[in-house]
This record gives sequence, structure tokens and C-alpha cells, in this order.
Amino acid sequence: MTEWLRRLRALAAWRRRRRELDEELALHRELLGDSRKFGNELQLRERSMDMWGWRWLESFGQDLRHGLRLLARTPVATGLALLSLTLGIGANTALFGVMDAIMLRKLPVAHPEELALVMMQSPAARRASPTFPNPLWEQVRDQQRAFTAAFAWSPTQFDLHTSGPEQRINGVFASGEYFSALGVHAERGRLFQPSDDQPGCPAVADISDGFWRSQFAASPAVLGANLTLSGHSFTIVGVTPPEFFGLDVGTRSEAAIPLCAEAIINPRSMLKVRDAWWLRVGGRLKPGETPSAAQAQLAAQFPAWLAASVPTDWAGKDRQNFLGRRVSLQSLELGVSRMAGAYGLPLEVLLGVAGLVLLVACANLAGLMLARTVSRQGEIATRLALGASRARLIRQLLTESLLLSAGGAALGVGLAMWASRALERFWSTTASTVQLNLSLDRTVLGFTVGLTVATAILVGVVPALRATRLSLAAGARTVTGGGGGAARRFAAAQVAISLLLLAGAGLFLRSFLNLTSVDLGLDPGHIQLLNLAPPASRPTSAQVRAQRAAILAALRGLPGVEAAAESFIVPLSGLQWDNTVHSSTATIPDAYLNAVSPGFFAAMRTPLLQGRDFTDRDGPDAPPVAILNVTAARILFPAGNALGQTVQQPSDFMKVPTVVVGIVADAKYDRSLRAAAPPEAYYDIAQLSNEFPTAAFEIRSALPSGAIAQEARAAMARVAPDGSFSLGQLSDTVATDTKPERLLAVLSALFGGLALLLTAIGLYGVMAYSAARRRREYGVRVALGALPAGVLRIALGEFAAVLGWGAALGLAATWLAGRVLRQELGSLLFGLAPNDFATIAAAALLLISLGLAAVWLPARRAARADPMLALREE
Amino acid sequence: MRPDEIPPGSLVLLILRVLELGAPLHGFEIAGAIQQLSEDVLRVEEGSLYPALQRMLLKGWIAGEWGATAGNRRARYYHLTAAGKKQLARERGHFDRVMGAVARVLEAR
Repeated sequence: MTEWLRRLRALAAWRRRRRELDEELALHRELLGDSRKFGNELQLRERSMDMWGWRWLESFGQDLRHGLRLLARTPVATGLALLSLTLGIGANTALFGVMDAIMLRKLPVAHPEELALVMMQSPAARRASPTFPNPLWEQVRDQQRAFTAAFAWSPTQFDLHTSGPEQRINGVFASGEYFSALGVHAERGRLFQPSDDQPGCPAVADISDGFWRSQFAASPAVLGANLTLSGHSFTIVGVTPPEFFGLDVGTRSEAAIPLCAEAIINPRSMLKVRDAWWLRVGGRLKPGETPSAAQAQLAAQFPAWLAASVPTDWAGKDRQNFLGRRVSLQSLELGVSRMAGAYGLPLEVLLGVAGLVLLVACANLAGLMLARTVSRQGEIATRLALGASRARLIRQLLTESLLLSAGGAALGVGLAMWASRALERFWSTTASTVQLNLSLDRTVLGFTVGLTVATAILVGVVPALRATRLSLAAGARTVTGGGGGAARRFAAAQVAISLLLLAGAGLFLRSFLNLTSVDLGLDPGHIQLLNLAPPASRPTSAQVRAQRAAILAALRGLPGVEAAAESFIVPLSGLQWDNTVHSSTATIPDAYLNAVSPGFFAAMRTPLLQGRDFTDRDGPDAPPVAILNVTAARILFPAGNALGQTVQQPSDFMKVPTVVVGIVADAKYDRSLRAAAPPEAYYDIAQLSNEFPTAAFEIRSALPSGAIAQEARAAMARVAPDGSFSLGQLSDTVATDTKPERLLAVLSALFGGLALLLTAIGLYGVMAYSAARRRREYGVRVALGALPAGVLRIALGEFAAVLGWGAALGLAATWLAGRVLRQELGSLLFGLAPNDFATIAAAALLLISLGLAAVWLPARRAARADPMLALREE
Repeated sequence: MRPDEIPPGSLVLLILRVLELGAPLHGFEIAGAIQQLSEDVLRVEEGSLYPALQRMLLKGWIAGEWGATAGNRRARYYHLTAAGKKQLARERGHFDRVMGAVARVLEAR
């Protein structure tokens, strides 16, 4: 221990130590006089200093300096090598960092491994769902014995403005137990607790550290300050620690308010509604208890809670399904990540792709280093002859490749920071900002360091071994051979990997194009959206209806507007309203519902196939009507006689039976463009028994989106000056829904192109090197009467084999990858199979033709060279 | 008579011992002291002395301080540390045991 300290101290004062030793030795020699011969003083000094055990570091330093000098001597080649490694390592680091943030990082709270998310599954549903109504949560909160503490939360967005265009922030409604159960402590002030979460509670809020800094300039006066959230005033009582972002990975919750304050924000509070599914429920396991034990405990109590909170007016099958819900637990250690589901597999695939690109870059550089070391044979042979050990030389050559890869890594980390921020921006939409924890933690740094060392070894080992083996024998002779075989093998490897990458890029590109040309059943182009936030005051139903009618009328009257409509839900927005729909003979357990105004289908360009659209005559007092899509009509009325029949749904908003007056084409509703349209039922928004707190308006106009948005803002200022709203475009929503595919297509194409470029450079380099090496041979051939075309054929022949072998290997690898990853690729690809022949053939053709072009140039130059010049050289 | 080489492994013991005897010594004096005390039998090569001194500094058995020689030259004077005294006792015990054993073997009949 202290010995190491002394060692380190010696290292810190290395030069002084050496000087002192020199002085001692000089004195000794002087005192000896000339009578006796003093030994080799330099060697003596080195042997003495070796006692401190820093020899390796000294020689490493020498290697570094030597390597730097050599690299600086060929700036262009070094620059290219650095660039390819920067791109390779940077891409890998960025993707891994993003993956780490989305899928691997634990929540920054106390003992995240003890946290569990409560899920429940209705017998009628295909999957378990994480959302609870508040009355059921209150049962869990008050009765549960499975956890040390249970908590509930609901991610939401708050509007900072009171009127006009929205300025939304991410926030959360959280139960009183939320912070204490998570073990999060206030950075400032206090975090709310169960006593703050009581019916009729005062409006208090805790804000994030980031929000405190950006909105309050980190002022200590923030405690007690006022914060307006969606038009209501809240008192700030505390600030959460900087690392705490909430439980939803990908968003940063800026403000947290107690659940009870939902009643302040929403005029129609969901706190007492027994079928409003909006809360997530989590719990902290008792120390040492297994999740399955806790689950069993919950399951034993669950039926009683369900019975106590079943909606009073639900009967029959609906009631049975509610009471039959089963409870299960999931780990909450990593938080809740919507992105992990959507991007997990694409990111894994892309990381694999980036890894292969780095491998191409390594093979490329290894070929380059090989050529370089072969041309350094003289130097290496001399050093070996002078007694340098082979290990020492290998170490030196590896130091050079380590220098390159470390340089690439340093630049690559910079690139990765930029690239991962760019990915965040790519994922963010006007409606929601994606914020990931992208700080370089130990996992990411370890990954990058490992990658750097692996790169150095991959690049350096073969050239180092070859160069030092060759030189012993060949150093003295004129250099004519060596390294050619290995260089060609590296080139073939590049061809093979590039083919795999190109084929993958082709598949993902075509899949993306297939997806964007899917028939949506509606036309999202040129649709401007206006989303009306819940009113801050508590207007009467008549006031709400009058205001929305006025807005719709104003929007329809705007110049350049072809059609405008109102709906509860915007198709493809991710929101959904589903419920059971019955006919007298059939049931759809989870039909997708929407409430729309007359003219909605025309504005969306969804074809009306039978019957009629809603009209202004279908008012609140007229008989209730419904429109079904083709799928719903077929299920409910297999005989095809849907028009004029009645359907019923146990919804709070449309309790009475409705008469089917029209059938529209299937249009996509939820965010999955790949799936067929679900069964859908539409109601006239004017006939709902209740208004929804929010409303959306769809405006079709050929005007540029900026112009129509401005018109819409002016219209809102005129007819609803106190209304808060946001604007968007439906085409953006669709673009959001194809983001995973777009990411895969764009990045794999980028990486494929990069690999192709590297391979071309690599082939060119190896060919040029080979041509230079065989210049004399070609000279002799030409001098003996060979035609340039013949020499060209010989020169190219060598590379036909490289390309052929590379392509064959690449095809085999592509086939193998297609088989091994059949399931994964099948879920990523849309509308084509992983072994799509045309795509793979096109990739091979592209690669081979570019490869031929790359070797053609140096080969032709070699064949045309003046034989006399080549022969005189020797 | 030509001085003999020091038996391998005992150089450190000898250095520790001559430093134990009294005032701090510099490298040349240590070599001289060993030669003199052994009545010119043992001769310390500077080629082994200085690496050994560096190693003992590293181990913390001795410490060096710069001072002036009689001829007013700068020299590093070494002295024993507490750890060095312990090491001397250890090495001495070891040496006695080994030498006793060697003697017994040689005197066996």
C-alpha cells in the first residue's frame, strides 16, 4: 500500500529522481578515481530506476511518441483512418448510450429493485393493462398488505398559459405516498405526502430541479411562489432532486401535484369515476419478499376491491368482466418506458449494424496497416537485428493502432453526444418532448473503452504479427512479397460484411416505403389539427356546446378551408376510447369509439359506403344515431343489413341504443399502421349525454400549414379568447407513428452506405498496393510482349476472387442472419420477407459493380505503366 | 588479495547492517564500509549497490537525505528507518539460521 504510494511519488518526480541518481553515480565514480573502471553508467542508471517498476510506462511513452510521429507523417491516411473510426465508434457509442438510457438504466431512486408495477387483466382483454380507476386505487391504498407502501401516479401535461396557444410541460398527478414510497427526498422545501392528498386538498405542487432552474432561475424564493398549471393556481412547496425525472423513461416530469388536485384541474374530475382508467399503481416490496409472494397477497385481496369499486350501473357481461380482472406484478426497477417497447428491437438491430460497420472499418484499417508495416520492413528488420524483442515490436505496432482507435474514440464520443441529442430531437414532437438521461455513466464509458481496445486489437494484431514474422527472413532481401494474402482476406471480409449491411438497409428501406404507402382509410395530408384543452372555469354544458359550435363555424368560414369538423379523438393520435358494442345477436368486446361532427368523414376523406353522414338535424333531441365502419358492421350484422338496426354500448356518454345510419370504409384509428383497422363505431358529437373535457378540430386546407395555423389562431382569439389550445398536423402524427421504421431505414441506409464507401476505399487501397508490388512483374510481362489488356486481366483476376469470395460469404451471412433472426426481422419488416430475393440481389449487384470500379482504376494504371521505368527501378 | 563477490542475497543485509552501525552514509561510503569491515574480503560492485539502494528506498527500509561530503560535494546520505530495523532483524535471523545449517552440514562426519 505505502509501497505503491512511494512508487507513485517516484513517478511524479521521475526526472528529478533520475537526476539525483546520476549525481550519486557521478560522485561514486569520482571517488573511485581512475584506478578502476566504472561500469556502463547508462545501463546502471536504467537498472536502478527499473526497481521502481515503471519500465513499461516509459517504453509505452516511447512507443506513443514514435507512433504519433509515424501517423503525422501520413496525414491523409491518418485522417481517413481517424474519420472512419470516429464514425464507427461514435455510432456505436451513441446507439448504446440511447439504449442504455431507454432500456438499461435503473430508476434514480432508493432500491429501485424493490419497486413493482401492478397490472391487471380483464378476462375479455388480450393483454394486461397498467391503468386503474381512482376508486379501485383507493381500495388498494387503504387495504393492501403486500407492499411496505403503494403509490399511484398518472403522467399528464400541464399548460403554462391561461389562454391562447399552449405551452405544455410534462407533469404528473401523484398520490400522497409517491415520493416517500420511492424514497425521493426534497432538494428544497418539502415533497407532498399522504396528508396533502385528501379530498378538497389545497393546490400545492412540487417542481423538478430543471424547471426550478429554467423558470425560477434557481431562486430560493421559489418556495411559496405561485405556478399556474392549466389555468389554475398552485403553490410550490418543494423541489425534487436533479436526477429524479419521474417514473416514465423518456420524459421529465416538471411538476407533480397530488391526485386530489386533479379535481382542481379537470372540471369533470375522474376521482370518483369508477370506469376512468388513468392511474398507474406501484408498490415497494417488503425487504426480502419475492414479487410472487406479494402478487399472491394482492390476488387474495383483489376480488373484494373490485367488488367495492365496480361501476354501479354496469351489468351482465361487463360487470362479470370487471369482477373477473386478475392482478399481476411487473418489475418497476427500470421505470415505465413506452420507448423500450417501440424502439428496443430496432435499437438492438441498429447497434448490431453499427458494430458491423465498425468491423468493416477495422478490416479496412488492418489492410492499410498491413501495407504500411510491409513497407516498414526495413526498419523492423533493423530493430530485430539490433536485439529488440519481437514482443516489444508487436507492442509498439499495437500502440500505433491503439493511438488511432483512442483518437477515434475521443472524437467518437463527441460525435455520439451530438448524435444522441439528435435522436432525442427526432423522437420529440410538438406535443411531447423526449428527454433521456444521456450522461456518460460507467456502463457507457466501459462500453466505449472496451470497444476502443477491441478495435485496436482487431486493427493491429494481424499486421503486427505478420510484419515481425516476415522481417527476420525477408528484411535483408529486396521486398517483393508478403502481406498480399492477408490484405486480400481483409478486403474479402469487408465485401462480405458490406453485402450483409446493404441487404439489411435495402430491406428496411423497402419496408418503410411499404409502410408509408399503406392505405389508411383517410388522407392525413393537409389536415391542420386544433386541440382544445379543458376549460379552466366550469362552464355549463350549454356554454361548452355553444363555444365549440362557434369555433367550428369560425374555422369553416376561414378563407382557403375546404372542410372542417370536430371530433373527440383524432385518428392515429394515440388516444383511444373503447368499449363493448352489442347488436341484438353479436358483441364486439373492445370496439373503438369516436364522437364526430357532421362532415368529419368528408374532411378526413374516409369514403362513406352506405347510408348517410350525420347531419345538423341529428341534434341532441333527435333519435340517437351511429355510423359503423365495415369491420364493425360485418361482425355485428353478418347478414349485411346493418342500416336501420340498433346497436348498444354501456358508455357513460352514449347510454341509449343508437340506430345505424351509415357505413364508412375501414380507417386506421390506433397507432399501429401495420394492423388492420379495428372495428369502429362513431356517434354524433351533438348527441352525447356528456361533453368530453377536450375537443379536437380537423381543418382541411390546401394552404401552407403556417398560414392556416395563423388563421386558426386569429379565429380562436375572436371566438374563444379564453380557450387554451394547441395546433398540429395530422401528417406529423402519421410520421410519428412510422418513426421506428424511419429510424431503421435511414440509419441502416446511412451505415450501409458508409460500409460500401469504406469497402471501396479498402479495395482500391489493396489493389493499388498489389499493383505497386507487382510492378516489376508487369513490366517484365509487357517487355516480353504482353498486351496491356492481358496485364489488366491478370491484375483484375486476383480481385475477381476477392470480390467473388466476399460476395459469396456475404450472401451466406445474409441468408444465415435472415434465418436466425427470422422472428425479429419479421416483426420489423412490413410487406416483405427477410430473404427478399430482389433486395438482396440488388445489394450484391451494387456492391460488386462498385467494387469492380474501385479496383479497375489502379489496375489500369498498373497495366499502362511504362515497363522501362518499372525495370530500371531495381 | 582480490576481493570476493558478495554471496547472493546478502547485499541488502550488509547495507542494513553498516547503516545500523552509526552515522548516515552515502553510496560510496557504504561500499567502503562493507569492504573495510570485511577486511577487504567483500567488494560491493556499484552495479549491484545502486539498484539495491533504489529497491530499499522503494521498500521503505532506508531513507536518503542530501548533505555535503568532506570534500564539500553534494551526496545522498542513507539511514535506517524503523521498517529497516525490523527488516534487518528479520534478515539477520534468516542468515543465522541458514549459516548455522550450512556449518552443521559442513562439520558433519
